Amino acid sequence: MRGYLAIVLHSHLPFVKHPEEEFFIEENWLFEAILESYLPLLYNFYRLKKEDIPFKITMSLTPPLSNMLLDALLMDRFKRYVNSRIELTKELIKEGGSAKENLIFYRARFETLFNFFENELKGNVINGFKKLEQDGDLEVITCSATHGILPLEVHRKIQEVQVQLGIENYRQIFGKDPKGIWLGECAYAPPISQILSKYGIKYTILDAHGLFNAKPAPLYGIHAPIVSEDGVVFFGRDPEASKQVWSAKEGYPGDFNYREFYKDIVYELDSEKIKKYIHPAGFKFDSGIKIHRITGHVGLDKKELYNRNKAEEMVEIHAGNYMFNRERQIEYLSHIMDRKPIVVAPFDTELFGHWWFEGPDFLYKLFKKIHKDSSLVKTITLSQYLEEYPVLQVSSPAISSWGDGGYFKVWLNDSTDWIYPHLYTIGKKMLGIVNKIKNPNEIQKRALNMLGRELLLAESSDWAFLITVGTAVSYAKERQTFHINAFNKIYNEILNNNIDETFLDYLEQRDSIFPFLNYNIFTEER
Amino acid sequence: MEELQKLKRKELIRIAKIYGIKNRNKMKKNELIRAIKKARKPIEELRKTEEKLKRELSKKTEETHLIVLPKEPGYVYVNWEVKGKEEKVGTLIVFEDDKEKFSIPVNLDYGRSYIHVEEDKKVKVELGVEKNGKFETLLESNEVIVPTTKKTEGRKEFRDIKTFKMRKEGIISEEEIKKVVEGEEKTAKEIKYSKE
Repeated sequence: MRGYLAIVLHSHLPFVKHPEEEFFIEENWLFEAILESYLPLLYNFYRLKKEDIPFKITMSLTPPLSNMLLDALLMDRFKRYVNSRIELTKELIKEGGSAKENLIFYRARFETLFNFFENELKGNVINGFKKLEQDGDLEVITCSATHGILPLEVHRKIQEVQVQLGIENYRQIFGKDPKGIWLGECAYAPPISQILSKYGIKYTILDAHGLFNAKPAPLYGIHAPIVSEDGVVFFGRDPEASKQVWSAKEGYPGDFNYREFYKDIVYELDSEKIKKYIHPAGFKFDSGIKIHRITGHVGLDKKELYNRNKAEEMVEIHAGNYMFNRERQIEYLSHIMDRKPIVVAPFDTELFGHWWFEGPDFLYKLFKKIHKDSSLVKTITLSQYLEEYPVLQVSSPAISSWGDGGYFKVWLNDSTDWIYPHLYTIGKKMLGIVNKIKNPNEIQKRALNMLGRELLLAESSDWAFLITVGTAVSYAKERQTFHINAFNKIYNEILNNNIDETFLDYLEQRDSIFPFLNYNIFTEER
Repeated sequence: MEELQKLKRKELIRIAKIYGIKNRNKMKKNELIRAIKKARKPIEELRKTEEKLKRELSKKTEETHLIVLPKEPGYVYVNWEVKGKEEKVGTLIVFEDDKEKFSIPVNLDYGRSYIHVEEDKKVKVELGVEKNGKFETLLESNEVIVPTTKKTEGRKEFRDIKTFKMRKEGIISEEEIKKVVEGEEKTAKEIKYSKE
């Protein structure tokens, strides 16, 4: 065995919960991710275990996502979401037609995954993460509290709170401290290393140039981690190993035999006929039932029917190709390094299954192939690599992110820069008010805790990202605006001693992230 | 009312929970409907409040501040607001590694700008006004390090993260490693700047 492959999956969605509406389209982001990514991945990892195939993987579970996965209302709605899809496939199957085989496939898939969710995971996706973590197959790491871009946060104390709450949220779920953290958008700048060290984080992951441009430039580039003066370890993303999977154009997911993401069956059906399955207001949204293949560079009307067997053949070929490329890479590196090289391949979890439908099967096949056929490569978690190689080059990582361009322009540009003066201002108010209000009464305490939640939700990187990329722009702007305004409203009410309890009750139901949050976390140390 | 009548008791309990209705689990269907109806009025007010809160936000914070943020190699973002000053024009002074580099005349009350600065320097800015021939500093910003694409060579030291001791490590082929790293840097740059 010559070296290691570390697959790292970053699982994140913004906190979206709207109890005030019976159906809220953006809540489907979570339901789609559960049904298309988290459940198929966990299902396949459980399969590997049943087949005695050893595998190692590192996954982040961000606090907004874990809070949603533990929310009773959202999970009730998830069940409704799945059941309605099962019903829809059943109805469509009855009608027959050329797509019948694919519809049967979808119905069986939904039923299998829902059964796995209800029975094996006891209706809680996090149980799957816990089980695999306990068994040592999966290493779960945390993330900054609301996936904030820490280098764009001016107040050091609030950068610290983002890290502290990320750790506390992990403790509440896993009953222990996380070893690693995923920094929102892999965004790094000093003094983050100091902060991670202060709160006991052992390692994080940066994009490749975070290591290539470190001071001094690391001898082994990205094939061995570096350690900062503060004692925090930084792993670097391998560009080649990532691109092959991540790129829709050049990577595997663009293969013509794979399922087409952009053609959903719901848009071809008569609204009146499928009334039960669309929004009560009458508009359609993705059902997740997508029965065509990419086919080629053709319009959506020219897409051919999906052939599951053919797609499975391609998964087999691509998993083999990925393993072969990593073997060549690792074999060469092992001759010129004084240690076994590590290839770190981080991805958004939702790439596997939601975007690239066959992604969870690709990972299943890859782990299986590596175990059965490779004498050169083994999979490993990031902390296991540190156990084996604790001697690391001392170097200060470079300012970087994994966003387009490699720095912060995705979140800081002409269309989003209005956000940051507000974040600075409400941050300053938060740090001030926790010292100003001495001995608050119960309702003031609730209001102060809510201030903390609104501030943290306003800091989510997701709103700026969506505005920049032009997806769900009006929702993102509304959320960004709402959290800033809600903060200012409650802040003024606390100062004027006229807290609107009805509004506070409402916010506690809606923005219910971090139920354990205590506003004292924002108190500056003296 | 009619719309609520159509719902099952279980669904009404869920709605009652949203409205914060106490003892909802013990209520009969008609009691639930009455309680929800009563609770609706303030909720309608809430909706109006929410609508307002999610739609209206001025670019100005109405709080005096001066902040600088890192954007990308060679660029920082500066945003300021000054309340309660009569002067219309101010001066923004840019410091790199604590040395004054250049100054720009600006509107004093509010402004935003992307400023070109030298990579890898510590940058902060000051905002002030000329008064009686003297410069009066009104605000000082936070300090940021400007992102860089430069590479820095230096001593290669190794540390054991378990024992914290410095250690010497063997290098097998520094030249070949360099070639690999250069190739990967090229790929990484191509990916970063490709428009996918």
